[in-house]
Amino acid sequence: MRTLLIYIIGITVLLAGCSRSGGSVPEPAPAVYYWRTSLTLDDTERAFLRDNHIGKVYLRLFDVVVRDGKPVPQATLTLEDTLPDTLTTIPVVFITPDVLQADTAGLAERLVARVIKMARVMRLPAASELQLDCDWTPATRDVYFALLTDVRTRLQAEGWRLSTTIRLHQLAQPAPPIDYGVLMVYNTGDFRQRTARNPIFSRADIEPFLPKLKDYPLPLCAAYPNFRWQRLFSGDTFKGLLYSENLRDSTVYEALVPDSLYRVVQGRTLHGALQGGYDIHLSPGDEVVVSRPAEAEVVGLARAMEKARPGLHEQAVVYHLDSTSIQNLSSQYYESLYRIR
Amino acid sequence: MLLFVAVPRAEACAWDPTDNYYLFYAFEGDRTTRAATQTRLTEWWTAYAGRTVTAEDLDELIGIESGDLAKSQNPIVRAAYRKGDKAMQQYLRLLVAYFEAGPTEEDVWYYPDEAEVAAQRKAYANVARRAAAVQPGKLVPQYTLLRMRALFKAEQWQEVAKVWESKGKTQPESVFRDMAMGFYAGALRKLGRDEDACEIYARLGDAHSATWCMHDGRNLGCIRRLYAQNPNSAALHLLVQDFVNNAQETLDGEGRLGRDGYITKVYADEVTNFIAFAKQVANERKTQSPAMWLTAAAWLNYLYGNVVEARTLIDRAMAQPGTPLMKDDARIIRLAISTADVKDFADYRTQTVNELRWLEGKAREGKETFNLYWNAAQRIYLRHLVPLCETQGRHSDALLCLAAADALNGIDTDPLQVDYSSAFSTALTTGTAEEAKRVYHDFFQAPTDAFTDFLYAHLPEAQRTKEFYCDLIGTLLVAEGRFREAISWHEQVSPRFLSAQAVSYYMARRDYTRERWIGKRQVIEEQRDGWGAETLTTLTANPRLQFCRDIVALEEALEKPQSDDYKAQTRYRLATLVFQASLHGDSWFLSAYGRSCYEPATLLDTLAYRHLQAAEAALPDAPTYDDLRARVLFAKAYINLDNSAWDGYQFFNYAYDWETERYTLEFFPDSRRQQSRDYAALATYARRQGAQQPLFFTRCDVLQTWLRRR
Repeated sequence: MRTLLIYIIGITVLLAGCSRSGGSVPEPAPAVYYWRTSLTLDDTERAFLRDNHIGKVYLRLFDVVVRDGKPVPQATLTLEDTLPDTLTTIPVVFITPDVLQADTAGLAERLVARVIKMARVMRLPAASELQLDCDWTPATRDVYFALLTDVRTRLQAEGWRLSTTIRLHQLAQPAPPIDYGVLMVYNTGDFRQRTARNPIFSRADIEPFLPKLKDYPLPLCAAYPNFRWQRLFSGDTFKGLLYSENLRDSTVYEALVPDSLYRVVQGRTLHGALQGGYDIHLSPGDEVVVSRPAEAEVVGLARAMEKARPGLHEQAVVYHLDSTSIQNLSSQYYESLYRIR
Repeated sequence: MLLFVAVPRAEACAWDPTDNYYLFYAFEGDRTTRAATQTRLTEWWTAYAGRTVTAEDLDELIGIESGDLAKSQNPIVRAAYRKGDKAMQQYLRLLVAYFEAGPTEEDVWYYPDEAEVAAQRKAYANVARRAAAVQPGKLVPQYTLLRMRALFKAEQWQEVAKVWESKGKTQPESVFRDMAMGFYAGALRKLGRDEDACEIYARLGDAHSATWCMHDGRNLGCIRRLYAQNPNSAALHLLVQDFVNNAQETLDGEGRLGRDGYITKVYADEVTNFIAFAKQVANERKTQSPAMWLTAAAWLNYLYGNVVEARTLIDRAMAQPGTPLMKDDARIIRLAISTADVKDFADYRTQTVNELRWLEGKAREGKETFNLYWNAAQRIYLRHLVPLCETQGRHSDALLCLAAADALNGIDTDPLQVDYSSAFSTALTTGTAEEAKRVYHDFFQAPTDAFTDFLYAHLPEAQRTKEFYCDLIGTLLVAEGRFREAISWHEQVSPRFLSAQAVSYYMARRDYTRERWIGKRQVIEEQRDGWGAETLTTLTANPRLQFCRDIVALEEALEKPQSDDYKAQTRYRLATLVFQASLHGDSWFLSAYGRSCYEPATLLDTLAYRHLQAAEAALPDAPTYDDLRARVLFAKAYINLDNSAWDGYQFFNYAYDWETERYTLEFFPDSRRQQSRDYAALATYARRQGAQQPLFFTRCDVLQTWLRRR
């Protein structure tokens, strides 16, 4: 009897240790972010949705930026294609940090009204949740949380949920007043620094946050990267990101280490930095450092995170649905991420 | 010296200017920027209204409601009613209807639903229909634009293109036509005709849109293809300009990494093949702008060092057709090329004056935002003519080229006050006294020619006076320790000249007779709370002259038989004065213009130190001389001659301790170093003195910390 009691107590302790302090995200499914300004899906992207049994698309609708001291929407998504009806769509709005220092009176009302109207007009499949994405800090936390509370109240009246992205550094802060969070496990380093450490995903940058994961008091799932960065440096000085620049043009770039490091051999100005929205000047001798996540490192760390917080991967999200990004990494990478339990 | 002139001294924190402005321009840009369009519109409406119409007046039209048009006080509307211009009133009514058809900029959060979108499109289409139904009379350009912009908003891209083809493209040049053409380009992009859109953007002078459109086509392959389709494509002007300027920057880059460091064979071949293609195009006679192609080939040949070929091609370019911009550009490039391999410099000087005069004239009448001629003049003076003059042994002319480039900056200068920060001034003040004397001779004593006279005329008035050069030579002589020689030069400088210079503020307030090593740096009362305004101060005497006389008097006294006591006292006094005149002294202006006290030790530091050594050697060994001995030892330890070494050695350093939030002294003793040895000697002496240490010993935190440490 005593042995049985110890056994029962042991099982109970074990189960308590495995339980998720914040609970599970609602209706978990393999998911992906869509972050472009016009919705068009090519064959690669449709195949990705199909092959990975994607059930949710987190769809960026617009950004909120500050113009003339007021928060305004910018880069609104245009619909030139439709998403498969089988998908659940979660509209996402990116809020730039300076919005939290501007006049936010009335912002929640305008934001919610616009999102719900856009979801209706765009006939987004099964939309009943809004996600906000913002790099808030302790200095802006109160304003952001007040905004979230206001937004959530308004959404609840419409029968909608509210989620947000959670950056790693935000794990050390009080949890926001929302239904669940998507932990962004990417952009872990400072991409402006030219160091050996990968700024997209570096285990060394992430591990210090793992102890916070277990007890974080919100339902969580995790999002992982598949994109690459082409970072332009003059010596060690960061000049900008070259978004869709073709580094294979040998009249402009010389591959010092193919697919990793290029040197500019012809000066020129890139207008709009090819979708970054700003001009960048390439000077002869500048170097382009190409960074992409290391598959084994990401998957290995995802497994460690699952151990630290069982159930975290009931839903995994990949950032982002874009054929170039998709092809950066192998199909096994995606399979592994979506199957971690 | 060449290096000094060619690359003016730059602060460590500053980016060295390269002055390698692009020189190849064939593309007429800027006409359709938002600002330029607004200016052209306001000009047109101002002419119509007979009074000034502002950009705000134009914006106000957007907010006027149709029903209120007749009552509006907007100057455009008022002019139409005042003139009884029924046709214009009708146009304005339709324009206001167009603005009303969609959301205003204030409705930024508005997102229309399908019904609203359909209603807006219908409203825009209706405006377009009404515009098409009007007999436009003189207002054809306005109605064409209105139709096209309304159809664009209605997303009827094909219709936009049709209106342009049928109405727009045959109209004469106007701001309304250019705006309509912009909508045509936008419609072409919507129709997937990117290359056609690019051509239109290029014709509009919208380099940004055009370059963006063809971002994968900025290479010889694309140039060849476009040429094959249309030898006179406007996009070609942009592409060729882009190609040549990029090549110029790349080939210019020897100042950064070294030519062989990054130019690959692939890119070198691309440029070489372009040169061959450009010559082929000029020979085929299909282009209306052979001048552009030949200029491009000439300039790239020059940049590759093929000067003979470059000269031949640029001479051909000058005789060939092209737009006025292309012809001007050929002339600019010819001037730049002419600076290479000059055989007869005297003849060259005569020929070049006219070209420089033309270029500067164009630069002065040019735009403020972008001015090819100003850029070209800067580059030709600084990167071409300065080295040419130096290699021809005409240093003074090289300096004057710097002055000519300075003058193009158009900074208004006081007729008496010298701008010591200009490139011309910097080159002079960082040179030697002998160089300055040669410049003085060239400017005031040697015969001149048209070239020198032309350049000399660029000098500001204050730098055309003998006093400026006498003051400069005297000051540089002091820096070189040639105090006696400096007197005759400083005697020619009046207090009036110095009173007009910014440094007069310091000259009137700093005392070079005080010992720099005892007490603190001389602080000017009004600057105690930070940098005050350096107001000009009237001087009654020339302190530079007085300083030299004081030094010479002391030196002469030493030349006579004197007691050791007197010699020691005098040497110490000389050390005091000389050090104060160094860059590390309070009266640095005695030997320099606008330098930094953080610069390493110079000759004057060494001279001062030698005087101290001599003083120490002459000092009788008796307690009577303890005070002077203490001062001499203290001064020797104060001076740091080692900081001119490669590693900038300092005996001590103030380090910030983050834990205590205080500065603490750290020491780096090294017996091979002068300051370290002198501190050791000073410490030994101080210990021997014990409680008898002079006040300036006990107040010196460095010495006392060092004593406690050992």
